[in-house]
Amino acid sequence: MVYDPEIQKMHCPYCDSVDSEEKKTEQQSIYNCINCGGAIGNIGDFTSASRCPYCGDYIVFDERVSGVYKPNHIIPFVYSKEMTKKKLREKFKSCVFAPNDFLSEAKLETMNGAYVPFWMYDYHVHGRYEGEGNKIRKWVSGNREYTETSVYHIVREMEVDFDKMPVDASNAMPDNIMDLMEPYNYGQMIDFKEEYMSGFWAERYNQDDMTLEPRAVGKAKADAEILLRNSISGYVGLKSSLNNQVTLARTETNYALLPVWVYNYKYKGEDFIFHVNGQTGKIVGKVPLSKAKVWGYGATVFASVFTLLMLIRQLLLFF
Amino acid sequence: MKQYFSYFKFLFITIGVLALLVGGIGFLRSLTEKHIRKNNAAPKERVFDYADVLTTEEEKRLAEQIAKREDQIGCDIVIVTIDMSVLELYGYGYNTDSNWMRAMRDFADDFYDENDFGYNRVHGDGALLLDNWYAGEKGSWLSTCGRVLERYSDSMIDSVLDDVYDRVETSPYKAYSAYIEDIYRDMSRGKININPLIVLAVSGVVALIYIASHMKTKEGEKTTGASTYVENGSVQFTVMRDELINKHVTSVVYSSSSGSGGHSGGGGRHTSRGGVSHGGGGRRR
Repeated sequence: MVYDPEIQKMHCPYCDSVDSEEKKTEQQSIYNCINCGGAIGNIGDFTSASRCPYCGDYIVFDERVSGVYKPNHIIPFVYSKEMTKKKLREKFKSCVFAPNDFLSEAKLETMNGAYVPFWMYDYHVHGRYEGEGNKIRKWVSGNREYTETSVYHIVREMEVDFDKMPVDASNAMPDNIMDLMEPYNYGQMIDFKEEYMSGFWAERYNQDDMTLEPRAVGKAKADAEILLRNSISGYVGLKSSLNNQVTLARTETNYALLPVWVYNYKYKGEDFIFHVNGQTGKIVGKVPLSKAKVWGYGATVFASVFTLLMLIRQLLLFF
Repeated sequence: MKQYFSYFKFLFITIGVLALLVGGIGFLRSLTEKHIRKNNAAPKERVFDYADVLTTEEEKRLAEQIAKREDQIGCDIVIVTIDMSVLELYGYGYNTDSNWMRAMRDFADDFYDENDFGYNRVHGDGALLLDNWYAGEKGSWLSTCGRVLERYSDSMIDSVLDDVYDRVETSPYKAYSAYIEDIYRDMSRGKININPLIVLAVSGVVALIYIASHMKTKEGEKTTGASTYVENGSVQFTVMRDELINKHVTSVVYSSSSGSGGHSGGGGRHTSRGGVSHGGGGRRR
């Protein structure tokens, strides 16, 4: 049984049954496939769900999604593989310099869905801003231009609560890419259920919430500073004093699994990895460029525009 | 390859259609290029070599060249050489540049008007080059009329005079021949004549812009803002103070910029003494 994002239910790809009560059993440490019995082998320290290399069935490793590793929440995949392929094709259809097979069915089929572990931090933030700013007014009277400069002392104090500031807890996923995956719609976040993991690769958190908190603090502080700044308008030459500060108090921490599609395209020995938010369809990735196409298409555009303009020139010469 | 042709399909079809259009128009024009003369009042002669700077053979060749070009462009092309003081003729006083110009202009215009030149009608489309060889009044004047007047700007007149000036002292024949070809070239093409080098440069720039715009391989955009994770309605400003601590006023003398008038040169458009609109310009040697 695997989770099917399109119908939002468990579905057996072999017998087509939906939401049946059949449930796998698994061994604690040997990790044999419940479908074919084959030994899964080394799955790494963090993998919590994987695919059997022999029969292709998906296995969830219970001990890595229970106890201290049990996530509080999960956002199930909304985008199925087919929907994601369509999304990728739509997004990159204008990338004419991409290699021909970049969006081919065979290559896109290699894409995998993954549940990425995230820590989510709630903060109560107190922010203070103090500074000086000028307001300028100009007018003309007679043959003179007057400039009035008013200097203000500006003070702001702000209280704000941040809810579920996410930080990915996977070493395999680049932090900057996971930041770009945001935002997820927390309205669709539900209490964790193991069944949603079936059909996808997954990890338990690689580092604990304390270790990763500095990233969350950095993000929350940056957002709070922007909120403070946004409350100040109409000034020029703003000068901040040294008394400005943002202090945070963590109020809650949650552990959640968030859906990501990963498409790894290899081109001339280089990996081009595309990450797609499995809930919103947002795509992050750098398209590979085929030099032959760049030159070929560029030369065609040059020759075509030249021919077109020369024909128009000739047409103008007639009249 | 299929992807390539599919991508450039529209561009290739556009070029094909335009090529057919240009070819078709070109073919039709080649059939109807010969203009029909409607003014029979003007003399048949076009080369009036009063200064006797051309051989008979040269005059004949210039006349043949003019006859051929006139039929192609539908404009009279006249050459007049003189060896006389136009200043004395008109009594314009001292030999200043402006007096000389005025006298040359009047002579050329009068000659054109009095001989009823004009391809389409009397005082119609045509150009006349007056070349004076009189010592102290040497120089050329180009008089334009009708369509030639409408087409020729100051710079185009200068360009023709340049071609004459560069050759006339060494070979008057070559100078007048160049004048005929200049008139033919300028009158046989459309008003908008784009330099092929500009076309080449524009094509290069378009191709570079195309390549640059399609090489953007941005990884992804940040789609979160400062308030993305703010709990609904939780932002509260407990202090919001803007205290005025200082104010000062400075002033400077205000000078409103007044627009300066641009200098525009006319295309030499004027009305001749015979009441005909002419254009033109001249150059002394």
